Amino acid sequence: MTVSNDQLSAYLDGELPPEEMKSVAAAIAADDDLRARVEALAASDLLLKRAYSAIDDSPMPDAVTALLKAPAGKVVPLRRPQAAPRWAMPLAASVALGAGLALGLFLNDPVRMAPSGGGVLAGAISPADPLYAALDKTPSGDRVAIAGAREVSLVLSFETADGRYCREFTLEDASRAARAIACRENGLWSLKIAAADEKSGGGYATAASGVSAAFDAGARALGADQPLDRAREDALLKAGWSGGGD
Amino acid sequence: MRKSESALRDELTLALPDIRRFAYALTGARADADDLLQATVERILEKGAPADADMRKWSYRVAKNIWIDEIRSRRVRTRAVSEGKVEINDRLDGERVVLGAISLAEVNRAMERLPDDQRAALSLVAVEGLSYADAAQALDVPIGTVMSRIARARAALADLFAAPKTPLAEGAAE
Repeated sequence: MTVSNDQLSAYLDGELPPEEMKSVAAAIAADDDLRARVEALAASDLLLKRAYSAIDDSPMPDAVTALLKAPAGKVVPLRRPQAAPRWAMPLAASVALGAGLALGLFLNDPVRMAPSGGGVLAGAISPADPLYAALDKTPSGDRVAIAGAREVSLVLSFETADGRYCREFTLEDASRAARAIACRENGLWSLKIAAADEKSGGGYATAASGVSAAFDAGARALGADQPLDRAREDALLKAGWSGGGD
Repeated sequence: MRKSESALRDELTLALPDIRRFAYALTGARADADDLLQATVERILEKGAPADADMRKWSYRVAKNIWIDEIRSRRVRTRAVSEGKVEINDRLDGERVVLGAISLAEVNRAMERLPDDQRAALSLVAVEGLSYADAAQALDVPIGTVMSRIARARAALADLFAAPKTPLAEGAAE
């Protein structure tokens, strides 16, 4: 299949029709050059996002806040409650380049790892990525080792209000761990939210409790507080998660 | 129907961080971004907005127009003297991309080379996370135009940030 530049780019944004998303994903999985190209496109997005999100950390200019001061007697909300924390960014238009690199990206401190074969793009995880198989086949509560001394632990499965199946999991290497949720979209697993924690000693650092709180809130919003029971999950593992959002 | 004065203020206050980030992606400099942010807020407070307008998207549109009409033309004049050509040595390698070592200046240099329309479209989608439909609305162009602008902008940036194969292809750094 020949994939045009427009298609690749729209794939990255999740803006192709479902059938085309699938065929482009398959083409990418089958073609190393194409994958390298998508990764290069995706990497520049990541650079932009990182470079220009830096301004979020500096205080609003007084001149602007003064403009928006309510006349006396009125109350204005002071600030947006944690609009888009960088460490829990929705990955819909964002990007991760293979599970190994994805972990690095979650951590906002990309580590140098070889792409794992396959890759996670525009949220959609390539079926060639070992993470994809782990999401497909592994019951909650189990862990599987994947390439690069990394480990995926499946935490739970749930269904969103609009009927998509999702799985919460962790992805970790020796020093770091990311929590993430992937949902079925257009017949593929797609990353929805992710948050990173440094591990300290054997466990997770608690310093990042704000990170955890934000992740938990995002997870709750998706519906993760109502996990599917074992029987239902078993049935979905057998059926290949078809149905929800497919 | 127009938004009330207090609704304008409330909704602008909520949208402020997003407008500012977009302004930064358009201008590439904090001072210019804050100038553009201020001009955008002033313009909206002065002219108002339709009652049913999504303030974030409305503000992107206003900011982009101000940038194209005023700030950008002013800056291009002042910058024409100082701006040098991008040399081959400025090309960025994949390892530095992965390590996050590419500086804002380098990102800006690449963004400066994009046509304004492409830069605005890419900023809305890649930085602000808008759908093509929303970006098309904010930019007042068809969705297909957004798609092709973004594809062209991404391809141009990816070439500028071109990654030699070696750094990534070497095994995992464990």
